[in-house]
Amino acid sequence: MEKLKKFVKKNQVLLIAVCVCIAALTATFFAGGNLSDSKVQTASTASSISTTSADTETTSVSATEKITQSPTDSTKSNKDNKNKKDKKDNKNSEDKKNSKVSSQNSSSSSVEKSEKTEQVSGNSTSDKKKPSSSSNSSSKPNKKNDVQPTTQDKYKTDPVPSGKPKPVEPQEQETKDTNLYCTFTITCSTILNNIDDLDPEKIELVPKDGIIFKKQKIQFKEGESVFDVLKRVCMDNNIHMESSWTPMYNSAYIEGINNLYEFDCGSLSGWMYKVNEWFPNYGCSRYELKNGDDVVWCYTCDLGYDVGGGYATGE
Amino acid sequence: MKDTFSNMHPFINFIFFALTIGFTMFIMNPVCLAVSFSCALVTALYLNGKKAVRLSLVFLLPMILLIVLINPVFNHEGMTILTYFPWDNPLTLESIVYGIASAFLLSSTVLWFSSFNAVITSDKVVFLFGRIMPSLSLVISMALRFVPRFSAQMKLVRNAQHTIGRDIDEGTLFQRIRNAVKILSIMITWSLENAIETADSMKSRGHGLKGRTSYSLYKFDKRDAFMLCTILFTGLVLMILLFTNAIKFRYYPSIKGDLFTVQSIIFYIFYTFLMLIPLSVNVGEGLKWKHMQSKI
Repeated sequence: MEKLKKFVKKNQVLLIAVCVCIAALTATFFAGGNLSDSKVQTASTASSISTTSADTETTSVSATEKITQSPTDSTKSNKDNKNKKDKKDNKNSEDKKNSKVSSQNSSSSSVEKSEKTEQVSGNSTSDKKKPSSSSNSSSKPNKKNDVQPTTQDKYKTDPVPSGKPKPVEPQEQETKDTNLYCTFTITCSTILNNIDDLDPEKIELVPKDGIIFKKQKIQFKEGESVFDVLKRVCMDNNIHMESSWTPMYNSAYIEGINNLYEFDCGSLSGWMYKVNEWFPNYGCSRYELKNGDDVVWCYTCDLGYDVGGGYATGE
Repeated sequence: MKDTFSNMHPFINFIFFALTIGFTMFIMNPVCLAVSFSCALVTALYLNGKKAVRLSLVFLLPMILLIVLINPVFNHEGMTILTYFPWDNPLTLESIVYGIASAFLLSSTVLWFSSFNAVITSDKVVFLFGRIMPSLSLVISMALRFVPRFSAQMKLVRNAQHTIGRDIDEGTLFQRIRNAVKILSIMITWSLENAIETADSMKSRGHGLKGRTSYSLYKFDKRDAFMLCTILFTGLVLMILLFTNAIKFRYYPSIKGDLFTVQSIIFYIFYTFLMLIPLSVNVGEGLKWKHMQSKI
């Protein structure tokens, strides 16, 4: 013990420096993509970053122009998406990179293609499980976009279609004591059509009808998000569920339910959710449930196209 | 201690370790892990003595504990949910078991490598690969020699610096850092220069030239041929059984596997036999020696 005390006394400065470094690193880690915004702003002298920001500035401007041109075209462009589906096979390699992000973040249909490709490149850098500060170059344009609310918000979410609920940040979430009800389903029936792609060790996990949790009325408190309800349903019914917090999208990402994980049934597979038959273009922690909502968690083997939510992945 | 196994032809030693370490690294069956770990431990203890004890207590034990603790914290796969972490992900039985298994896999690999270093010395490396890839074998043997030589030279340099009052535990913090950096720079200069010198002197002696023979004490005799056949036969049987999935065992999503079928028991027997070769050779030779002595 004496030796330790001596050592600490001798190396006080060094120890403090190390502690400060560790604290700074952890802070950046937890703040994730959000903190990196301000850091990039201050560090814009770095030549590589400043060139990328110059590039993205032009694209974001062109994107907003397009959007202001065609606000009424949203239904039409939805159809366009279905046409785009044919082209999709060519883009599979890109989609692979994008698929991790699919159920958290999705751009609405009216976004320019140039914007989209730029986003893909941004996502590929943040493809790791915990996108901390790796997304510097891609989060830069978002800061700019804060000024123009027609484009992505600060968690890379495109404008929500009219008539659909806006995202509610989990930090500002307020749960009240009022009891509300919603219906809840967890299904993986798409796997039944693609059973050959499934990891052979996991075949026994798929129920015969593909329904992991049968449609049921669930009680929840007012202000709770889809993620809160999913968590509780899984815990109460002893269903396995793993999630990871993703600061860049300010939401939890569902990696696997019932031991069926993302990428288990082909490289385009993963979990998605829909509320009242609509696949939200933002993460499940940001969706505040209302009374009578119908929540369905479904496993997709084809980036959402086989469950009817392909547009939510940013096509 | 007498080590007959390392007196065998280097090729035999190399084949044995290649097979053993290869099997150890890729087989996750719990029985095989137990066999490999215990054999690796006993062999390392026999070959390295005290050094092996230190290695396993100071390095391996903390490593095992660390892996066993870390795996369930970051891996939540598995059907048997025991409880929930504060961050709402499940703690599963499968992840705990998998952590234990992988910890033992890693530590038995490290132990086998410690025996590998005791048996296959750098001259054997040069002998084995000197013809096929001269420069690579030279680099390998130099790299293997580097750490012990570096630490010996470090002692010398530190002693020399100590005599002029510039050791790393003298003076204020900044002075000490300055001294340490100085010693490090001396060491780096020395090691770079030393490496070039060694390479140059090997070149001037004609290392790696065509048609050049090299003197070595190793002779491939009957005993070696017999041993080679034994090892290769055992390896072949194990390979065949491995590819027929005789010892299939899985950890995720649920722990499942038939540990004691006829095929798997045959596999375990051959596996144990292979891993006990160095020990049995050495012990058998010792007994023979004693027996002959008692006859005189």
